[in-house]
Amino acid sequence: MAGLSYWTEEQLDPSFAAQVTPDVEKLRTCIQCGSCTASCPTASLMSMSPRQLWGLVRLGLKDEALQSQTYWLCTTCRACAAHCPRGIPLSDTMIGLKACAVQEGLHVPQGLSLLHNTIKTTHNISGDPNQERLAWSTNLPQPLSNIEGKTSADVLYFVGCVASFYPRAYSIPQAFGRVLNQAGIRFTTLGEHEWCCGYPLYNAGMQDEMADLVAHNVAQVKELGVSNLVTTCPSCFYAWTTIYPGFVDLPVRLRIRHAAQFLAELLDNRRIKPGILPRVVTYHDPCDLGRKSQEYDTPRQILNSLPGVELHEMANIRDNALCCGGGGDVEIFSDEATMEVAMRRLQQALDVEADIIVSACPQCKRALLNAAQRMRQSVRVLDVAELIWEAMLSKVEW
Amino acid sequence: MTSPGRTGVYVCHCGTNIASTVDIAGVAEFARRLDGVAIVRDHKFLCSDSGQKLIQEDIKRLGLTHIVGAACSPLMHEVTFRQVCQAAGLNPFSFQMANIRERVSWVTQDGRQATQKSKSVIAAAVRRVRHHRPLIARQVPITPAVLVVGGGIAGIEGALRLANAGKQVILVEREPSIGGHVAMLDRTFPTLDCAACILVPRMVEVARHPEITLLSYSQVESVSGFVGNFRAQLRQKARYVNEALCNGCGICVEACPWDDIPSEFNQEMGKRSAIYFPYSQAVPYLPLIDASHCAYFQRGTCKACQKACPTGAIDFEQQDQFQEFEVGAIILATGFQLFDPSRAIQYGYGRWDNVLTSLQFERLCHPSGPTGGKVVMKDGREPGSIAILHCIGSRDENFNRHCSRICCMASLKFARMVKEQTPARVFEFYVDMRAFGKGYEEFYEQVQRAGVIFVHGKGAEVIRQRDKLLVKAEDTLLGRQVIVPVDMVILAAGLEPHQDAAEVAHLFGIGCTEEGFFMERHPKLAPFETAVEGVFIAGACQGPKDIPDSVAQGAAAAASALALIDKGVVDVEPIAAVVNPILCSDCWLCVNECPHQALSRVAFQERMVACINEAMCQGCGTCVVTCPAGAISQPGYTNEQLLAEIEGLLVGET
Repeated sequence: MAGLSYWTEEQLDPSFAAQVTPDVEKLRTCIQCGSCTASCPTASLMSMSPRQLWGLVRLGLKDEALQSQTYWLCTTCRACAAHCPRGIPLSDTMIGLKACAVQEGLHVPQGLSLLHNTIKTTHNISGDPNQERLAWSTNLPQPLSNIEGKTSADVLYFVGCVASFYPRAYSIPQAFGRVLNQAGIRFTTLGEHEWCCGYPLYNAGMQDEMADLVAHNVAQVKELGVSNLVTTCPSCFYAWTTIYPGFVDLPVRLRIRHAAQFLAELLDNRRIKPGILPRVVTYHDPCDLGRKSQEYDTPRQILNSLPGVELHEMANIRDNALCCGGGGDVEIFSDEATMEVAMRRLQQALDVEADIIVSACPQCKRALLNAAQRMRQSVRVLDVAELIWEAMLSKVEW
Repeated sequence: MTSPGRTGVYVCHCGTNIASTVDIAGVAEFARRLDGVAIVRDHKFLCSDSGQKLIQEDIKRLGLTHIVGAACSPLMHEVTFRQVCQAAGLNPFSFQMANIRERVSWVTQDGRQATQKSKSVIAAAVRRVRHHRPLIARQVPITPAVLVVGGGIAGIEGALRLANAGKQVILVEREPSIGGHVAMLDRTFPTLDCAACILVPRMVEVARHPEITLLSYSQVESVSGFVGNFRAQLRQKARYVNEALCNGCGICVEACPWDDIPSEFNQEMGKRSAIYFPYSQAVPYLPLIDASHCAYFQRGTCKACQKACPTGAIDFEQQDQFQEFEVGAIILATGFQLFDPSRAIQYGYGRWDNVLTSLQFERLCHPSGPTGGKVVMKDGREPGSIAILHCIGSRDENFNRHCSRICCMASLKFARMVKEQTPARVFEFYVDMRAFGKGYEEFYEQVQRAGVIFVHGKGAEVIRQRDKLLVKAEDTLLGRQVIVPVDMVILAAGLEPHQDAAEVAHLFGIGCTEEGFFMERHPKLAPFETAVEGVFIAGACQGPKDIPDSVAQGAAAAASALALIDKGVVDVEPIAAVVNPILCSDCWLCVNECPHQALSRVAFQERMVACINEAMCQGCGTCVVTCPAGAISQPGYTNEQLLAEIEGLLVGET
């Protein structure tokens, strides 16, 4: 028992719930069934379960709610919301709690304040000079050239910070770029004029702080005049498709796709021809692509269409997929939490005896690779673009 | 110009239902100034005895010619006040209702607007009522027979009650046998008596009852007519077995080489052949051929059953049969369908072995089920532990928002049955335990005593890890995430409306509620009647129900149908449309448009003009608005009345 509670008028703040959740009436309908806690990848690390947190929020016990670390451990994977029988926007409420803490200047983890400063000064999440955004394109036997600011391009590839600045993920843009070249797609990037999409700030409860990033990126796209934008990062994809329209009007003709969707079309149109790749793979649904963007089928269609590739599904898939642990800035707050979840996910891939874990997200790739290293497992983690590139390189003709 | 007459206006407070929103005194004051109004009164409850007396005395004392009641919906009390008028010597149709409750006070909290709208509605009624002419209610004879649609426990109850009262019953069942879901159950809560013992005798009684015509494997194709005089066309699907010749020996079934078809009755856990009996206690006890799996129908050869049949009953040429019946009333008892848990991917239903639905578990426990009543896993081993997950597909915005009512008790029953048969550990993952019925809470306590482990928390996920199923939940009372490895999972799947419930509702002209169940006429006072007079509903087609409630509603619907048809005649609103033959220009538009086939052509002064069959006309008004010559009018809805009403609404307070 955590002592005796006196629920006086001062303690129960009736306006608190409305401050942190987009739909306070929905939150009031919580039946305390615990589906959220049971679905949560980091709940076992929390001192207070998500369900208990809703109880505090609903009552208006503001101080107690904000003091908990529960919401900082939220990877925003949205498994809770997907399973909530009352349809409460729980994941958004977690972000609302972060925003409230930020606003009040209470309990904000130091790492997130640093992240804020880094993005504000360097326009990316790593703190490296933004001019180095295309480092991955030179780090190749045959460097990809002329891929910056081309106005005549068919496609603008929005690379994203993770793949641009974390060498573990370089191979994703490298593969994607080479696939596009082989397919004869004229593509370009924004190069050093690409800024962080702002999603890491959104997830840190600093939504307002992303406005200038949004404005800048959209202005760049407008200036370039392209009508196709493709991302390999599902977080950038989700930001562009779902969050950006809340800030500015996007160009009417701008079509935004995730690389998996774009590649599926190229395969359909036989613009790229994969060879036989005899591999057992499993597919890890990135939360931002799956639960948040409802794209479960296209990556699987790709895997099923690649000759030789055999897809073994893990225990948790589709809207019941298990997060990699790398979302929601949790890694910045607690890299152990991310590691713990990623290892659990990796074990699921090992359980189905996959040679390769395929995903469609640079951050998932990083988190799962780190877990593989910690667990001393030789399983490979590839992006769907990388797998396609490997299949294209396969000498065996289909 | 019609004389305004002497109209009395009565404004009801309906306790605080109207009075807390509408300014009654202001409304009454307004009504007093209206043309032709002789008196205005308000009353706390106008429908009460004293309210009714007040109106009656005024009619006599003040010589009122018309009455306006500003109160609730006409569905509620129009008949009451018409009778008040009649008792005081006025024609009952001298009355007009102004609905200031359902359409005013209940739909806004804005007192100013509510008062203003009340005034408009009353002004409309006052202007309209002065055009009311005395009408005489028609009476039409009733066909003393009832169509019961659905042969589950509710339909059987209804059919037997009516038949035992000596009324002719046509019982239609879509499946090859009657019995419904109860026929699949092993035992019933909370008494644990065997389902077959309560159901089968009733099924047999249906089959041999002289007053019941049983049409199984049949569907209603179309319905026309109205209360007391419905006409239903039924299709009996071909079984390819001649009912008159078949003696039910079952040699055909043994002869059929195609015997690996998943059995519907055993919830796909057992197999059946292409010619099969629905189940061992089926009524009628007749086999049928499933043409989609029969080698003869699919490939043109085989006929093993025909060769084996000793009575020559197999008839591959059999066609669907159509029959028409005339009935005075209809009872719909079409039941429910079980939620398909594969829609909730997190439970692994259809993906992992030994994850079962509640109905599958019933079949597993049933002595004539696929395992002969033994609770075993797919590999034949006895489970060491079982988890029962409540609220699957119920109380869930992603699927069905309603509570399915029976699953808590069914789940307790499962736990109890497992405990009786095996030493397995049993976990119940529940959200709220709803033990609402007679003896149910006591049953809950009994199951607790038996050592079942109750976890207060919704089972959120079932995954397989090696040879175990892992159930994930939060034990909300302990406040911790738990993973429980078990051998078998039973998903207490919810009850939902049949996939085609909306189409069936449309066929009979009734409505559906938000969740898709058939809509009752009143949730409390008329839970087994519908908006269509003469059409009743019973059982789970109206909403999830357990056996006692389904039986009670079946009997209640039967009693209501009996009360209706036993009278021999039914009062019909005198609102049948009338054609003025002189104005009729002989264009036939109305004849074609009438949804009730009430219009025909008759000779009139050397012309053929439209004529309306008063008994068939339902007063829908379609012909009235169709007629380009304005030759058709409808008593109670004349142009003068409607225009005056609209005028009143528009002019309102001014």
